[in-house]
Amino acid sequence: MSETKSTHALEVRGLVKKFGNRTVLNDISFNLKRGEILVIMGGSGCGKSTLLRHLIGVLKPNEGEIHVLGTDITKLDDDGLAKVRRRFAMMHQFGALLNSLTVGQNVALPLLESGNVSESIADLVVKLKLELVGLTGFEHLKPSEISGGMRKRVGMARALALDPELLFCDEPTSGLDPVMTAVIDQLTLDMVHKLGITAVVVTHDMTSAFRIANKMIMLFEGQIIAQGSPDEIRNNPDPRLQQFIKGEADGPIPLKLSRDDYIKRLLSVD
Amino acid sequence: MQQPVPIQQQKKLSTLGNLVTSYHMEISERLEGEIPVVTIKGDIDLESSPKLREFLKTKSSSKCAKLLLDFAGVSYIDSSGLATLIEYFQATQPFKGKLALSSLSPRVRNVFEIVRLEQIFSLHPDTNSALAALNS
Ligand SMILES: Nc1ncnc2c1ncn2[C@@H]1O[C@H](COP(=O)(O)OP(=O)(O)O)[C@@H](O)[C@H]1O
Ligand SMILES: [Mg+2]
Repeated sequence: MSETKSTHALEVRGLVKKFGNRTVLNDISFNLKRGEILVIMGGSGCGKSTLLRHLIGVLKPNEGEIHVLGTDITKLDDDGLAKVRRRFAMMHQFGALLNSLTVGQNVALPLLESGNVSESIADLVVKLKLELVGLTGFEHLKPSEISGGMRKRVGMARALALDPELLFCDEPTSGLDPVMTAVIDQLTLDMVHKLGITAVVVTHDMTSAFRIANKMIMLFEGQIIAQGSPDEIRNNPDPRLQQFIKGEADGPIPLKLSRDDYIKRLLSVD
Repeated sequence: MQQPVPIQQQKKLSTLGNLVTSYHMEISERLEGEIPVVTIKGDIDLESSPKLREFLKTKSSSKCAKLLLDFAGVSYIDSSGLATLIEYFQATQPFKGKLALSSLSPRVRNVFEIVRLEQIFSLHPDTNSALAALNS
């Protein structure tokens, strides 16, 4: 299924990104083994989404190397990048579904765009992916007719349509209630443990982070201030880290949304 | 009823958009009594599953009564591969054709189970038990 068999799904070395003269990512280095879940944490504006956009090749760094599935994507042209892109997928922060299409058509999009799948096969794959995310029977509804949690799951189904080896998720559970968060987390765990894919998840939900992570990275103002196993992160004495961990989680089941989610809900016109 | 069956061998470079992917899937067939035993080797993925689909269409259009797919040599199956098997399963319903799969690796079996397909397909640990099920 793949031509490059590096044991690492990701290897990032000395990544620096500047917007104008502002350094947004500063000397980022980490590895991720295949079959593991990396959680990237950090407050709003610390650079999490910008880092993800580098990992999927949308942004090029000013300095550094980014090896994805064995290939340094900073050195690739568009054709080379397209070849690596075929092997990973991204679930976007706000689902990014097309409102004019049905749920099923949204999930089918990557399949039909790949150019190699007939419509009847694509229809069946859509059904399988909707089953995977617990939305069997919803294919004919429009995104506007389903809940936010369901839209997130449709986004997940679409990201999984082409069976990626590597899955990137930007805040897959933000704005979801604890039950729906647990559902998405379990899905991520199943994909990794049962199918052997690798996942990179950006989140600021600490309950969710500790539930799924093999490895964690804490970003602070564009720098990694800690990385390691969940236990190592839990026991790291850095006060910025401890404040983040304690400040965000209310115990095993958060009774309140995180501040950001609350504000987002309060102000959204959804 | 049994037609002489094409043996397909796929080993080539396929072009998909602007990317070139090498793949390797082989389909071969033998008879165990009256039951065709089809051995699939390699990866069943986006590039190779159309070949499997073509092959299975010859089976459904000849109303193949019993079919055994030996998965011992299958190292990977993606969703388009699963869809191809479901499509064949659907096509066998009008003539009540039987289908069994044998010798799935744990990883391949997981791909079926995660979307609960073990509840549709008859999955067996080896060809003997699959043949016994088809003969019962
Ligand atoms: N295209 C861009 N041009 C200029 N600044 C940007 C751009 N994208 C992000 N930034 C800035 O980089 C910082 C990190 O943003 P982002 O990665 O979105 O943070 P996070 O996802 O952690 O909330 C923010 O200060 C943001 O304003
Ligand atoms: Mg972000």
